[in-house]
Amino acid sequence: MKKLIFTLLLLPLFAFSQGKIVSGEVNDDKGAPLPGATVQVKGSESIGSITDFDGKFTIAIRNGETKIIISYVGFVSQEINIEGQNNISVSLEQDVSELEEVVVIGYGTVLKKDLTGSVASVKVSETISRQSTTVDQLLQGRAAGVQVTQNAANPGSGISVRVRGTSSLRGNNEPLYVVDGIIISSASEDVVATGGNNTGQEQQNGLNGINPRDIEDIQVLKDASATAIYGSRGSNGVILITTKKGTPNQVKTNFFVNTSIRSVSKTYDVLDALDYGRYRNESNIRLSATAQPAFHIENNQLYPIVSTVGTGEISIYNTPLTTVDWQKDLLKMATSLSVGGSVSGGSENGNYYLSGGFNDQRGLTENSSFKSGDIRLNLNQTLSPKIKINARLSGFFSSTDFAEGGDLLGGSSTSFIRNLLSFRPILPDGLDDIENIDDLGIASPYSFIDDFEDKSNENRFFGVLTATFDLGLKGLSFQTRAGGNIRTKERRRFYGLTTFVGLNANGQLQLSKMNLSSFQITNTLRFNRTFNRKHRINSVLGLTYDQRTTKNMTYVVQDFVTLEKTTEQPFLGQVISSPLANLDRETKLFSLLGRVNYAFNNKYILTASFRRDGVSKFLEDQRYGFFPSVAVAWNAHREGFIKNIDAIDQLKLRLGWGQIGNHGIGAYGTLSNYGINSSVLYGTANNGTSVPLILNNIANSKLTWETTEQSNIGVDFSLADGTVTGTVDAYDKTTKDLLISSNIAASTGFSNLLVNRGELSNKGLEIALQVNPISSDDLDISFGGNIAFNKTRIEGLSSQSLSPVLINGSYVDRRFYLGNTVSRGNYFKYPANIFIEGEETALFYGLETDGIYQTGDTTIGNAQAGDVRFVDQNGDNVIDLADRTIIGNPNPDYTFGINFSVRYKSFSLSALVNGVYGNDIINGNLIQMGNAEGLFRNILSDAYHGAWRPERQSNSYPRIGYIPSQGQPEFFAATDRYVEDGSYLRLNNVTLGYDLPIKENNAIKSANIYVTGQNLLTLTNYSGFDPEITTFMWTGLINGVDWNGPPNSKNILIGLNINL
Amino acid sequence: MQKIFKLKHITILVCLLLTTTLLLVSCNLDEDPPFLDSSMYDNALSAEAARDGIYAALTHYQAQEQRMFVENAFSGLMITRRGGNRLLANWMTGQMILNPDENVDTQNTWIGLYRLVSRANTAISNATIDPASTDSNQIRINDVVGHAFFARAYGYLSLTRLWGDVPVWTSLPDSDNIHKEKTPSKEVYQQIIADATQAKALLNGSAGNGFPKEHAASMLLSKVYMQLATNPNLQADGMSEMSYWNLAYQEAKEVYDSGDYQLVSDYATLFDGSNENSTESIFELQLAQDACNSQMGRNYTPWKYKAGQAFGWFGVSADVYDYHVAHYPDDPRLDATYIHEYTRADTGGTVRVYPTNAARSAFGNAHPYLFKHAEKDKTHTNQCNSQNLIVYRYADLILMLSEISNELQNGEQLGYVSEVLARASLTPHSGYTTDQASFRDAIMDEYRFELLGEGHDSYNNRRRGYAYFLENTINRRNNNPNFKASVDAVLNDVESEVMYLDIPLIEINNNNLID
Repeated sequence: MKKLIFTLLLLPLFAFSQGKIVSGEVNDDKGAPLPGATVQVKGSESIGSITDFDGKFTIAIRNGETKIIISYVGFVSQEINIEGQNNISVSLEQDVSELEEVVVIGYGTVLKKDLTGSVASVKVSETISRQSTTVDQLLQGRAAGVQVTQNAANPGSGISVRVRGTSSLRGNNEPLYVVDGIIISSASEDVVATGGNNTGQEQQNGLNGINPRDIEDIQVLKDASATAIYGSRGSNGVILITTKKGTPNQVKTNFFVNTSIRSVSKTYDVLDALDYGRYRNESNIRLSATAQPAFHIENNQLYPIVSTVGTGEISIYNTPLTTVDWQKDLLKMATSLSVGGSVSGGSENGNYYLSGGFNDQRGLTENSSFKSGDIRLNLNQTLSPKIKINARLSGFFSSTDFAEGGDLLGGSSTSFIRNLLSFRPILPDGLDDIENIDDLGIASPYSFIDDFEDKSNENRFFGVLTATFDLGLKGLSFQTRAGGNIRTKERRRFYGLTTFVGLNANGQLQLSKMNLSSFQITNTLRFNRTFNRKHRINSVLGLTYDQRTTKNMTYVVQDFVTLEKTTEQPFLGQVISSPLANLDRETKLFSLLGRVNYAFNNKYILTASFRRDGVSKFLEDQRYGFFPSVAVAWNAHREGFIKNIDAIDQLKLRLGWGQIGNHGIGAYGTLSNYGINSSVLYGTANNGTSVPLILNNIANSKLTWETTEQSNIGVDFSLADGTVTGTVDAYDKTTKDLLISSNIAASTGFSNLLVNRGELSNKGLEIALQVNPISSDDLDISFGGNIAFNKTRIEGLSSQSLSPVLINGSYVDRRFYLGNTVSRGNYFKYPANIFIEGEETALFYGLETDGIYQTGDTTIGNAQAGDVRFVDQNGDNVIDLADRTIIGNPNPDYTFGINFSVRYKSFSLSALVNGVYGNDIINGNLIQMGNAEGLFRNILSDAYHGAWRPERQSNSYPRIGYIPSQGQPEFFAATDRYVEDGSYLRLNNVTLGYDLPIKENNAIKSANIYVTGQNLLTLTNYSGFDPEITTFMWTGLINGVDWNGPPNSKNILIGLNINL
Repeated sequence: MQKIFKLKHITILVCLLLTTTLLLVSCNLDEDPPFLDSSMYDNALSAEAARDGIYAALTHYQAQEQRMFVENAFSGLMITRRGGNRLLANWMTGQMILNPDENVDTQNTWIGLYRLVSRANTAISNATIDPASTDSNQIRINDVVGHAFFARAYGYLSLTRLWGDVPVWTSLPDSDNIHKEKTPSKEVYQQIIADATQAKALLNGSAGNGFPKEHAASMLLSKVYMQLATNPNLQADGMSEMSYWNLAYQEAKEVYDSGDYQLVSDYATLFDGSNENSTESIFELQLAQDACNSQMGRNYTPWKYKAGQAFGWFGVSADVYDYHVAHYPDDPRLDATYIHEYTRADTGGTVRVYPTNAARSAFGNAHPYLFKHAEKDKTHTNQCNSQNLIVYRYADLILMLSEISNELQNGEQLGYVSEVLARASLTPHSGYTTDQASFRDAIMDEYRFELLGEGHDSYNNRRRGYAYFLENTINRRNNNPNFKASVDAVLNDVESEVMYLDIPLIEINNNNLID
C-alpha cells in the first residue's frame, strides 16, 4: 500500500520530465532484505527513495540520469548503472573496515567514523615492538605532536613524552597512561633520591612493565574533547593502551628471539695524554713565570715534575705515568638478548592470550645492565548471555645495574659522565702520592666501574577485572571494573673506597625504596544503540574512585667494617648518616563522569562529556573541579556533493572544545609538614644523637586546580581508494592557574613554594600523511610522515611585579621569573631559563658574547686580552646581571617523523626517521671543557689548540688560564658561548626482514628473520654526546640544558620470529 | 516472568556495586598526612626537638663547614689548598684575597643562616610563652623560645656582619609574602638587640648541658654593643660610642661575674674532643659522628694526616704565623693552632710545610695548616666526626672585657688579658703597657693568637673600620718583607669591596624587592 502511494506521489514528476521509474530490491550479503537503505540518483542533492520493510524501493529517473547509488549504514555503498533497466536487485556487502574500526577512547569505545576528538593511533609491527622494552620507544616519531625524549644507550633510564608541547610549568608534563582502562603511573615516578654527600641520583624510567609486545594498539588522545573525560589528569594528553586478546577458534603460538650489539654513537674530542701534558706545561709557564712545567715529556711518555712534599725539591719523577683514553676504555661495545613467546586462542564464549619474555640488555659501560622478565595473561569470557567478564593480569620483574647517567650536582668527582670527560687522561696511581691536588684528584672514572654499584630491582603487578552486565533493555549495559597496579622498587647504591664519596665516608650505602599501589573502581552505565538507522547514541555515565598510595623510604649508612657485602648488608655500616625515613603519600580522587556521542545519519556527530573530580590534594573549597567538553564532526564525504568525487573516499571535519585540569603536585601541599629532614641529625653533649624536628615546607592553603582550555579543529581524509590518508589538526590551548613549585628568595629560609601562577598558551598545527601507492600481494609500498608545529607563550604572570628585562636590545618592564639553578657546584650555578610574560617559555637568559678580546682592545672591568668579550648591553662599562638578555630558545619549531616501508614477496624493509627542528641547547659541559683553564681537568682538544695566545690570537677560545667560574661574568650568568642548535634528524630504526619459505602443513606456519639498525645516523650540529637531552626532564624550571648527559649508542639487532 | 526476574536480579547487583562504590568514597577526601603539625610546640618534649632543629640548622654543612670557610677566608689571614692546591686556584682568588664575589660557599652560608632564622621564626610563631609560669612543661617551652630568639639574633648578627644590609624576616613567609627588601644594617642591629634581650629573659637553663644559657645572649649583646661603639653609622639615635662601650661592659661583666665559667687548664684540649662542653664553653654546637652532622674533620684536617679522607682546606698565611711567633715564641697555643710537620697516616712518611720546611718552594708547602678543627685521631676513617664546634668561649669574653676596659679606661684591662695569657704561661707583652692605643692594637692581635680560625677573625679584623683593617690585616700581608709572589697571595684593598660580601644571586634572582 505504501509503495502504491509513493508511486502515485512520483507520478506528477514523471509526467513532467520524460524519464522512467526504476524499482528494485536491496538485500544484505546473506540475502536478507535491508529496510531503510538510501537510494539516490547520482548527482542529486536529495534522497531519492528509501527501501521499505521488505527492502524494496521505487525511484523516478529523469532523462540523462544513468546511475543510482544505494547506501546503508555498515555496508559498502554501490553505484548501479540503470541504463536499460527498470528493475534491479542489489546485494550490499558489509563494510568490514567500517564495522571493525572501533577506537578506544576514555571509558569506552566508539566507531572510528563517530570519533570527534583528535586521536592519533599508533600501530607498530610486531617486529618493531619486540625490539622495544618500553612503550615510549613505540611512540617516538610515530604520532604527530608527540615528542619523546630518551636515551637508547641507557637501559632503564628516564624518558620524557610530551603531547602538544608544554601545558604546565610545573615540570612534569608527562601524559596520563591508561592501560586496559586502568590509570597507571607517570613516567617520572621513581624512588626518592637519598640525597646527602653531594650525590645525585639519575632518573629511571617509570614506565617499565608496560610491555610493548603485548600491546594491541595505542591511542593518543590529544585534544580536550578527547581527554576531558579524564578531567583533572587529562591536560597533558592521555595514552590509552589496549593489550592483546585471543582470536576464537584460532590458536596462535609465537616465539621470538633477538640479539643486538650496541656501541657508542658519538664521543667528545678531548685531549689525549700527551697533549694534556703539553697543555699543563704551557699553562704552568704562561700563568706564572716562576712555575715549573708539570710534566717532562720524553719518548711519548709523561714524567711528572714534582715538588716533593716534605723537602720542596724539584725533580723529574723516574717512572713514566700510565695514560688512558677514558671514553675509549670505558664506553665499550655491548650486547643484548631478548627472547619470548605468546600463545593465544579461544572459542565462541571466550578467548585467552598468554605471553612471557626475558630481556637482557647491557649498557656501554662494563657494569651497566638491565634485565627483565615479564608474564601476561589476558582472559575474556562470556558467562551467560547477560554477563561477560574479562581479566588482565601481568607481572614484570627487572634488575638494573649502574645505568650510567648524568648527575644533577655535577661535581667532577660525583658524576660519572663529568668524571669520564674531564678526569685527566692519566691513571691516578702514580700521582696521588706526589701531587697533593686536594679533592680533585680522587675518584677516577675507574672508580665508577670497579667500585660503585647502583642496583635497582623492580616488580610490577597489574590486574584488572571487568564485568559487563546486559541490563535487558537493548543497548543498555552496566560495567564494573576494578583494577590496580602495584609497583615495588628498591635501589641500592654503594660507594666503595676509591670513589670520592666512599673514600670520605669509608664506604657508603644509600638505600631507597618505593612501594606504590593504586587501585580504581569504576562503575559505568552504558547505552549504545541505533534508532531508526539514523540516530546512533553511544553514551556512558560513571562513578570512579581512585586511590594512590606511595610509600617511599630512604636510608644511608656509612663507615663500613667490611666491604664484603657492599649493597647487601646495611648493618655493616657503623654510622647512620641518614636515618630511616618513611615518606608516604596518599591521594584520593572521586569522580563523576559522563559522555554522549550522538551520530545522525552517519554524517553529523556530536560528542559532549563532563567530569567532576574531587581530589584530596586541595582543601575543601578548592577541591572540586568540573571539566566539560563538546565536539562536533561532519562526515562530509557522505554528502552528495562530495560523494560523487571519485578521488575522495573520506573527508571528515572535526571541531572540539573542552576544559581539562591538572593537579599534578604531590599530596599535602596545603598543609605544613613538621618532621625531620632525613639527612640531618643533631648531636648531644655525650656524642649521642637527637632527632631535630623542623618545618619542611611552607603550606599554601590557596592551592587549586590548573585548568587547561583547548579548542581543536581537524580534518581526516582518505583519497584515491585509500592510497593517501591523512589528518590535519590545529589547536589552541591555554592553561590558567599554573601550578608551579616556585623558587622563592633564600632569605625566607625555604627554597620553593607551591603556587598557582600565570597563564600559558600553546598553539599548534599537526599534519600526518600516509601514502600507500602500491598494495598487492607481491608488492606493497607505503610511506608517510608527521610534523607538528607548536608555539608556547606565557600569557600572564600576575603574581610577579613588573621589572626591567632586556629583550631585543631594549629594556622593557615585564613580569618574569627565573628557572632553577642548574648545578650546586661551581659551574653553572645560576638559572639557564627565564619565563617572561608575553614570550615563549623557558627562554635562555644570560650574557651575549662577541668573541675574544685581542691585544690592544679596550676591555671592560678586569678583563684582559684573551678573555671572552661580553656585550655591555647598557653601556655602563660594567658586565653585570643587568646585561643579561635572551640568548636562546629551547622550544622546537617543529618535531617530525618519517616512515617508509616496502614489501616485495618475502622481503620487507622499513625505516623510521624522527627529528626536532629549531630548538637550542645549552651544552653546560663545555663551561669547564670548552676553556683551557689550566687546571687539573681535561678539556676539549679545540679549547687547547685553538686557545687565544698572544702570538696566535684566536676569536673562538679564550686564553689559557681563563677560568669561567673565577672572576668572570660567566660565574654568575649563562652565556651564549654554549648555546647550540639542538635540531636533529635521526634514522631511528631501519629493519630489513625476510619471510623464510615454509612448506604447507609444516608445524611452523611462518618464520621471519630480520636485521635492524637503531639510531644508525644522526644529523645534527650539536656538539654534545646527543641532542636528545635527558637531564632535567621532569623539572619544568630547567629546560634545554645538557648537564652531564650520557652518550647514546647505535645498535645492530638480528631477530627471528616464528609462528606455529 | 523469568525475564523480569533476571532483570531484577541484575538491577540488584548493579545497586550493590553502586553502593559499594559510594561506600568507598564516603570516606572523605581530607588528607591525613603522616607528619606532625604545629601542635608539637605545645609539648615540651617535641618543642625541644624543634629547638634541636634550630641548632641543627647551624650544624648543617652550609651553615657550619661552608660558613666557617667563608668567615675564615674573608678574614684575610688564611690560605686554602682547596680546588687544586695552587695560588691561582678558584678558592684562593675569592674571599681568601678579600674579593666579595659570590661563590658556592657564600651562597650556601646565606642559605644556611637564613634557614636558621626561619626555624627560629617557626618556634617563635608557634610556641606560646608564659615567663611567669611555674609549670614545668611551660618552663621548658619558654626556654625553647629563648633559644629561638638567641639563634635568630646570632643568625642576623652573622648575616649583617658579612653582608651589611640584609632582608629581615621575623615571621614565616606565606604565598602572599615571599619577597622582602633589605633592611639597613643599623636597623638589623636593633632587631638583634631586641632578640638577644628576649633570649636573655627566656633562657632558663632547662635545656641542660650542651646548650647556651642566658649568658650566651649577654655575650652576644656585648659583641653587638662593641660593634656599635666602633661604627657611628650603626649607632641608634642618642647613643654614643662610650654609651655602647658601657653597655658592652655591663653585658660581658654579667657573664664574668656569674661565676659559671672558667678557663680550662689545657688550651689544646679545647680542640681535641676531650674537653667538650667544658667550663670555658658558652655556646657550643653539638657534633657527633653518630649524628653525622659534621664533616669538619674531613675538610679541615691536613692532607693525609688521618687514615680517612682529609682535605686540609685551611692553612694560615705564613706571615700570620710569623707574627704570632714573634710575639710569643714559646706560646703553647702555637702547637694547638698550627701544624707544619706530621706523619702521613698512609705511608708513614713525613709531611713538612712552612715553617719546618723553610724553603717555601711551592704554594702547597709554603704555609702551615690550621690545626684546631682537624680530627686528631690519626686512625679515623669516616668523613663525619664528633669534635664539637665552640662558637663562644669564655676566653673570648675575657679578652672582650679587656678591650672594653681599655676603651673605658677603668683600670681592669690588663688583669683580664693577663688571665687569658696565664693559661699559656705568658705575660702581657710591652704593647699592653705603653698607652691606650698600643693596648688596643695588642688586644686586637690577642684575639688572633687566642681565637684564630674559630670564626671571629673576619669580624674582629673589620670591627674597627676599613682603615684599621687595611693597616692591621691587609697591609701587614701585602707589605710583609718575607712576601714571596709565587706562594703568597696579595690581598684586595679596595674599600668598597673588602668590607662586605656580595648578596648571592639565589636571593637577587628570586626576591623581587632586591635588585
